[in-house]
Amino acid sequence: MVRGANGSGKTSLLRILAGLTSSYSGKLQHKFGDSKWNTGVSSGSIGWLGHKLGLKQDLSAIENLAIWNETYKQHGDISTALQKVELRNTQQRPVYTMSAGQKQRLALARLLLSNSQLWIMDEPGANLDSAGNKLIETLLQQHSEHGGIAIIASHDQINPDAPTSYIKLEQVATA
Amino acid sequence: MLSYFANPVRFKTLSKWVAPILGIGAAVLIIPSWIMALFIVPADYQQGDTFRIMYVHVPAVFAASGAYAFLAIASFFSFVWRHPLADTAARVAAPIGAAFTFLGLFTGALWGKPMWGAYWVWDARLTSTLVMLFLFLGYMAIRAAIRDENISARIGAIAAMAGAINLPIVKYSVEWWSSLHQSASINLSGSEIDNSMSTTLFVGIIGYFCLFGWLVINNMLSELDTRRTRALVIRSSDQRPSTASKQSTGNPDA
Amino acid sequence: MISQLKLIVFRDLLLATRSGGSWAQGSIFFILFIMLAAFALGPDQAERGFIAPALVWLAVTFASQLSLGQLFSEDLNDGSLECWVTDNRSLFVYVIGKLFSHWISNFAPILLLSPFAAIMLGADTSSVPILMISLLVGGPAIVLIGAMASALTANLRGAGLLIVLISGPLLASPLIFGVGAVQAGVINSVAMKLLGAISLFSLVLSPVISRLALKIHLE
Repeated sequence: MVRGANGSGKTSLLRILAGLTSSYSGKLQHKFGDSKWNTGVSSGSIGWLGHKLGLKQDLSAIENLAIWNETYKQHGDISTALQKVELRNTQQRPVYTMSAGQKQRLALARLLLSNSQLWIMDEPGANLDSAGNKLIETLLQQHSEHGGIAIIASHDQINPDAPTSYIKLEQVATA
Repeated sequence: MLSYFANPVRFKTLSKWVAPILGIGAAVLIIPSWIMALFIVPADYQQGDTFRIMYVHVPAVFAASGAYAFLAIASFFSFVWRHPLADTAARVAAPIGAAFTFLGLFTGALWGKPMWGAYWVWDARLTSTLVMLFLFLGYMAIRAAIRDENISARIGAIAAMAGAINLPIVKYSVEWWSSLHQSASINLSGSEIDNSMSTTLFVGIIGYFCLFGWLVINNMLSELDTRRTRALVIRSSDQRPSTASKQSTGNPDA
Repeated sequence: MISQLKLIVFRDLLLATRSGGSWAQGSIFFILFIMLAAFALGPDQAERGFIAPALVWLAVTFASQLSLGQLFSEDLNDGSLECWVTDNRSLFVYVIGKLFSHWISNFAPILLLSPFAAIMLGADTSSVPILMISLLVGGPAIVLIGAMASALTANLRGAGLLIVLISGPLLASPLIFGVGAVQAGVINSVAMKLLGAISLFSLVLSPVISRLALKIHLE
């Protein structure tokens, strides 16, 4: 769990960890052996949930998931994923008709399908109600029971039961 | 060797010497070349005195091509080694190169009127110089459109390199195209050139290159100062709200 | 890799059917351009027929650049590309897939309209087949050069005009050889071969440059 004030660099840190940003100074070290971080985690991929959700507005919830399911090649169960994020009733609706919270839930369902060991989530609780935050905590619990880990940037809404270490980013005063 | 000069501080000390040398060199070469062009070189037996504009035109076009080559090479260094100084060089070279290109085109048009009877002829040289002007302008447009300095530098570098790879192809196609309907085109190497003419031209070209170098270095210095000022302004405006967080040390939250 | 390629193509074609016909905008612009060109040239059929192939080539070039504006920016802005890359999928495959689906959904309709446009302008019917062949051979160059510009300007304000600013100078070559090939009138003319060479060259260069540019825009 990465915490810190606005502008302290949470998003930047996550983007570097996810391999999206390559222009940084300093060295990236991790405990996953010598292989590159990108490919080092056992499944070879990262489940990424950023501010941009990776959903197509013109497709329905189920179509969006079907495409990502094909991409991930894990043949996950779409209806189970939708069940877990409580979107079964709206699965046929195009994404542009959904509320911000529903979109966030749909993006979580995408993450479930990815089957990655490593989740990197930037403000997963954005736009979610308290039930939604509880949902994330449950999903994280299940993810950790399956041996997965997650790196999460978040404010205080999410407090998972799974074993968690906290990092707080501070703005360094540049005198 | 390049990395030795890539240090901004070293660049500044070095440029204190190099810039005046280039500036004086430009003045010492260009002004005499004009005097020679206007008073010493004999008038052309066909074109009379109008051909004397060549001594402004040809060096400008040479310097413009040199400027594009400079832009492409600086972009390459900036892209591969991500050095900010190479990027600054590329960034300031573009408008200067565009200005030389424009000067070349404009004087070419003025020369074209008495030569071909028209200000503009779609001659291969003129046309490919025009294409080069658009490459400079496109580079400047894309640099200006991207706010983030880092992304702007790298995207701009790719655009400049893509242009440089394509420029020979464009040049060849334009030559092929204009050779289809060849009517009146000049061929400098074919016509007889007086010795004093080629000397004057040579002096002029070297002078223009010195001028280009002098302009690039001076603009780089002012660009570096602007960036430093901007960084200081941002930093000092950040200072006030961050004093609170200065006291708190890196305690874990829980 | 092939399955990923097919997936991108399938997804984009599906999106094209849902996009409210935005895939057709290039084609409509194309016909509009032809119509306005006819007005500008006046009612003399013979005069227009003479330059019809050149006008069709010009219209195809501009219409294709126009339709390339959104090629990469949508996936970049809605985060699809981030998810694709963090899942360790090849950006190169993505670019190829995008190009292919764009070719089918946006460029092919323009190509299908071009013989009608040429005849409307009064072109000699015997010149239409060679015009079509030149467009098929040179079309990839136009789309690939435009796609490169589209990748460079993805994520930017006013990208539409900027694309033409970047690609415009480079489009000189395919236009010159494309029109030259039609004027030559035979399939195996020098111009046609050079046109093909430029398409092949762009096929190598454009995906590489586009991939680099998208990687930078993802940061």
